[in-house]
Amino acid sequence: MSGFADCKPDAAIIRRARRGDMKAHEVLYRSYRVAVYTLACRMLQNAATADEILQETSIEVIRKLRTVRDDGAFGGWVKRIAVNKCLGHLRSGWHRLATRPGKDDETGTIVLDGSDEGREAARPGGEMDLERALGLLSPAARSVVWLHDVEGYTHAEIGELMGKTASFSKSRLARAHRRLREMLGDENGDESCMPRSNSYSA
Amino acid sequence: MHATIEQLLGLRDGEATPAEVHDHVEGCDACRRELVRLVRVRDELRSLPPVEPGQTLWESIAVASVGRPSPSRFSWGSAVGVAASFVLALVLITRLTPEPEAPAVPASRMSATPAPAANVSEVVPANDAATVAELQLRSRRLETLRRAMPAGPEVVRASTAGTIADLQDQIAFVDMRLNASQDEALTLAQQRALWRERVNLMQSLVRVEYARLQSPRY
Repeated sequence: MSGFADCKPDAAIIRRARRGDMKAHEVLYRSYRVAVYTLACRMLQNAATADEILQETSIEVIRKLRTVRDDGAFGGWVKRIAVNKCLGHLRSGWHRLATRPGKDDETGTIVLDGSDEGREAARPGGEMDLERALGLLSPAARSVVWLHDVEGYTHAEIGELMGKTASFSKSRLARAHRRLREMLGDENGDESCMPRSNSYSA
Repeated sequence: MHATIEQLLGLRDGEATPAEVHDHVEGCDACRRELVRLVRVRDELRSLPPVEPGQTLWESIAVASVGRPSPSRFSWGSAVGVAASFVLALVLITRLTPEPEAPAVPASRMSATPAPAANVSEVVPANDAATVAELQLRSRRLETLRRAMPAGPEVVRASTAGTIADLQDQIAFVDMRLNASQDEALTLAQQRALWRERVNLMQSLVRVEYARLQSPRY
């Protein structure tokens, strides 16, 4: 489950942090650091970048905590900041330079589907664990999977976060799960019953 | 009749799905197996272990977070709060993991150039027992802190600008003497005095520049 569900610091700590108490800010940091770092690692697949995301998120929390009115919403607020930082990084030119060249998908991000690892993973009978398979998805697909299936965002929310529509999020999620099924070597899927396009008919 | 993976995901997540899809899945073994598999994958994703960040990130975050309050929200209370945060950042800087010791400057005799008098109170007393390496480390940390400070206002008081320029000149003079000390013979005590002076000047400079950040806009 999302680590942010456990991020519920004491209201007194939040009040002290709002007044600029750095010791209180450190307590808050300890309450969300693992959730933020995990989110960044899973979405970006790079520990050094995840460090930056955690730092940038923490600095924004310190500087903007006074804008949070509802102490109970602290965890959700931190999650939104971290998600926006991750998505911003994925949209950045630096990220495009850092990823390996491959087929561009419609978002303009780099897709690893055409990579050697992707082909090897899709070999019939080839199996791998879910964590590795998640890492081999394209950044956009991986983001949708993580934000929807783990962090609990709706398709409408994901579409808004990524500057797209809810339909985009749904189709990306479906495509990602098809890809995961191929990589995980699941034999239970019956391709004849699961066409790629929506061909449902009576 | 067949269900698409989009529809199965919708069923899995409790989204609005046509009744015909429900009916089909109930009667189709393959679709039911796929639905169960999608549920299992989601559960496994949620069960992936959390990833722990490094233990020392907080120190750099605390330093980088020091900045001035927005002009519309300036108040003496917030300035005091930020000042306290800055002091804590200074303390945190001194607790950072020590860097590898810098190469020692060879000891030799010093030339007869008198040290310039500092125009601010010294933080490191003359009888402080800190080694050259410790003073060098403190100086580097102050440089790091100064680089982490945000850019100040474009318009400043002439007296403040003058103080900053004077401190920078004094630091440059100390640096010149430290660079020259590699050719001249300096005793260990003389090297310590120079580095002590540099640390004190750096602390004064950081304080003045920090105070400048807290000043209300004109």
